[in-house]
Amino acid sequence: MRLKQYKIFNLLFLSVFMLFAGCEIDHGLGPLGSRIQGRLIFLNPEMKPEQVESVRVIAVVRWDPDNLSLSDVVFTNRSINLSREIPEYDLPAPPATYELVAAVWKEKGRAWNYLNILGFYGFDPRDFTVGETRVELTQNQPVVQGIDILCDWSSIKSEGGR
Amino acid sequence: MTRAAVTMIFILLAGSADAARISGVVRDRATGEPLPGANVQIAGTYTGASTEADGSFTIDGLGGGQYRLRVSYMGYRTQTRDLSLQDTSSVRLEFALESTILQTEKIIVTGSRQPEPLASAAASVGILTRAEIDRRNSTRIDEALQSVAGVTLVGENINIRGGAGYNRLGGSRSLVLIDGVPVLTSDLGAVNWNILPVSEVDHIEVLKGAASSLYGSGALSGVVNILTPLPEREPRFSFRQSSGLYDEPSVPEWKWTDERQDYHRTDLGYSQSFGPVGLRLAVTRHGSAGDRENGKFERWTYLGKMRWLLPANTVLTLFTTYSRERRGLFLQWLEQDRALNVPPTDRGIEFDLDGLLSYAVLEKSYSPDLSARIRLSYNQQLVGIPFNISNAFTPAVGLSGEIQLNWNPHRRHSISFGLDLKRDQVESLYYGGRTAFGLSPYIQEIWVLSDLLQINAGLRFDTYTLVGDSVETQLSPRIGASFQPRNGTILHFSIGRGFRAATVVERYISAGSRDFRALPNPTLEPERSTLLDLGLRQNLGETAYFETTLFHSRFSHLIEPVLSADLSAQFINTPSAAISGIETEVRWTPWRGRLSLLASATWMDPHERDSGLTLIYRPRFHAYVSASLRFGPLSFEGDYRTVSRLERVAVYPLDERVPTRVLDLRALYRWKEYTFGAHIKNALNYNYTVSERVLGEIRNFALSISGQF
Repeated sequence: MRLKQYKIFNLLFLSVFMLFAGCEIDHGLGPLGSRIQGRLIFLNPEMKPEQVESVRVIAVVRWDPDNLSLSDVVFTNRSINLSREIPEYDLPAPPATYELVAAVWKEKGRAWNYLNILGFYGFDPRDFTVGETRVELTQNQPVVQGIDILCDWSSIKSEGGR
Repeated sequence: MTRAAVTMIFILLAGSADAARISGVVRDRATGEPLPGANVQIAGTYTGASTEADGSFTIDGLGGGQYRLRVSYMGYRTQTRDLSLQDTSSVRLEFALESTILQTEKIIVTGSRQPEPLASAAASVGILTRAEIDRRNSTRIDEALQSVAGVTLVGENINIRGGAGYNRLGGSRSLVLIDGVPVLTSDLGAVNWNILPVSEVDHIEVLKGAASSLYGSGALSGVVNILTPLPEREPRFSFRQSSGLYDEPSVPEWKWTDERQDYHRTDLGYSQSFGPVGLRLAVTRHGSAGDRENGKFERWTYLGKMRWLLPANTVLTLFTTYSRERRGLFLQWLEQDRALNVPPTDRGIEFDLDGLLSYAVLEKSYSPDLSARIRLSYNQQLVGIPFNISNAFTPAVGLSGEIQLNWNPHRRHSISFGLDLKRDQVESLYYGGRTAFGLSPYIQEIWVLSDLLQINAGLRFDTYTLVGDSVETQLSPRIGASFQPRNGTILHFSIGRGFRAATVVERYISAGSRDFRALPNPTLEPERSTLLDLGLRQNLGETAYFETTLFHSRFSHLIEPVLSADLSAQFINTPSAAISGIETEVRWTPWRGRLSLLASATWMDPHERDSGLTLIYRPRFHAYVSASLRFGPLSFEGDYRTVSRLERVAVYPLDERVPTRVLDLRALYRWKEYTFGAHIKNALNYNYTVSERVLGEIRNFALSISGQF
């Protein structure tokens, strides 16, 4: 490499280095940061049906049981550890107001159906009362804790397995 | 004994050639260096040769008569020379080609099913050369295609000017050909991009726009024609070794293993001619530990190509490629905070992918004005539907054939007409046993009205019969023109229709997985499109080239999956859509060729015609910039690719989405017949999704060496 080419090469290398060193590099996607956390409190554990394979927690932006659009549902591919008596859950979800945060169950040998609701935040199956069901995540308050869901296993049995 | 028998066969075959011969050498005019791999062809025929490492070529088996020899090489001006041959004469010629960056000098075969200069092509065609693929150390053909103007990928779906979107389990909306042979699978209508190693690509032509008048179903938004190289005359061994390491994820929480993840790729090739019989053999192994959980794979590809120059201007080509792959299942991430992990239920799941493509093509030239081509092909693919249920499938088998005649009734009028035939046979637990037949006559014409104006027109009638079910028919016309008002300026225009018949999977699949269930819809209608483009190709002196194209596409009955809350999916015909846009490409090679710049950008407005909503999985903008700076044998190169954030997606619209921004850097050093490379892919370690909940490859570093002798 001749001297002139060597100088040009060094100049270019330095320019590229300065460019990278002087810029804050955007890495694109990162951890979500916002999430809904709470516990699942199972009622009537002795009545847990055999056909239940697993349970997930979902958050729904617009809740319309007759016309639920999957595009309104936030869910992960992580299922709840049912071996624990009161399992905790941690659902990453983008900032939004969720009309419903629910535990749904999956039947053995069948696909997930997010209308198979086992319990939802704000609902007490012991006296069938419904309180505040909405959960709001904002940029200022990205993590909401204590969103406990009461799940009554007998509700599945009483509906004939569905 | 076997070797002796093979030698005898080759001697007998060699003896069957005619005595007349054209030989010679092709060099770079500026440097005098030989140009290996240049295409030397007798114009209007299929007879030709590829130059050796020393630039030499020989064409045997010729009768006496007048010939026009055309010598072309990517990046150089095409030269033609007229000559006269006696029955037993031998002529030796020398060609000194002048290098050019002018795209218009290139010869293409995809735009009209016959060789034509890109300058006069009515359609928009992008070209990707072997040299560009090699420089970028591309390991897959779809990855390499992202440098073509107007082309993006969503998952493994190739998107030409936004025409495809993304459709898992849905068919490809761009037809993919290898040497003109359709290779979409008979069940999914999908592409197995790994069936051909990138080391065995000569160049790739991307025809942008509806091309069903040329190629029938599948060419809804364009055609990708992958051309493989001709066999060499003298023995030539080629190799390429590339080994790399994945970096740590830029997000510490995403780290999923403490082990260093590496990958290796080895390509070996051998080519030689024995008299009139030329052979190419290649084997490739590509293995990776993966940059994510379940990202491990191992892939082998074997390829053989034989080209036999028979007497009387007849050429027989036999081709086979087989790939086998075992890979982990990564359908989607566990969650955004664990983006390189799979759900626990998918952990450790692996599946196999198999592909076999064979074809035989017989080409005969009766005169410079009349030639024929007969093709038979066999395409067997098991692109395992990713539910780890590959053993529930039998391979999808596609048989196809073609008869084509090229006739020049006048020196300014050329006609190609023929008949395409195909038979698809698929069987699975999930869509039953299905058989389909296709029969498609077509005609293409080119009229050179003057030295300034050329008109292309085509018409094709497709019938596709699904045994025991339905018969689809489609008439696909196309017309185009190119006009050269002055030297170096070409205006081109084309309008045509495209269609894609629903695949067997889209119609009949009935399957359930842990997360989604697929429901059949046997009443699906074919997707249809009408595409119009108007473009300008402009040479700016000898060092710059500029092309810009306006395009407008209308689609009806697009086949898209619709998901419901019970996580069932069904393919349905959706309302009509339109995409309008502008695409620009600039190439500039200043500073006596030391600096080479390529930039392309595409702006689009893809929307549903009824609702006005942006079409799902279509970016509004994408751009590609590539720069290369050369100091003698050393060069430094960089590519930057950006795709705007997808405004709408189908499955997880609430997920965070970001634009794609990928920077690749490399340094190359050439020494004699060898090239050494150091590569950084995704140098910024930028995180983006290639499809929903699937990250693009994280930063990785590789060293490569390639050569031939």
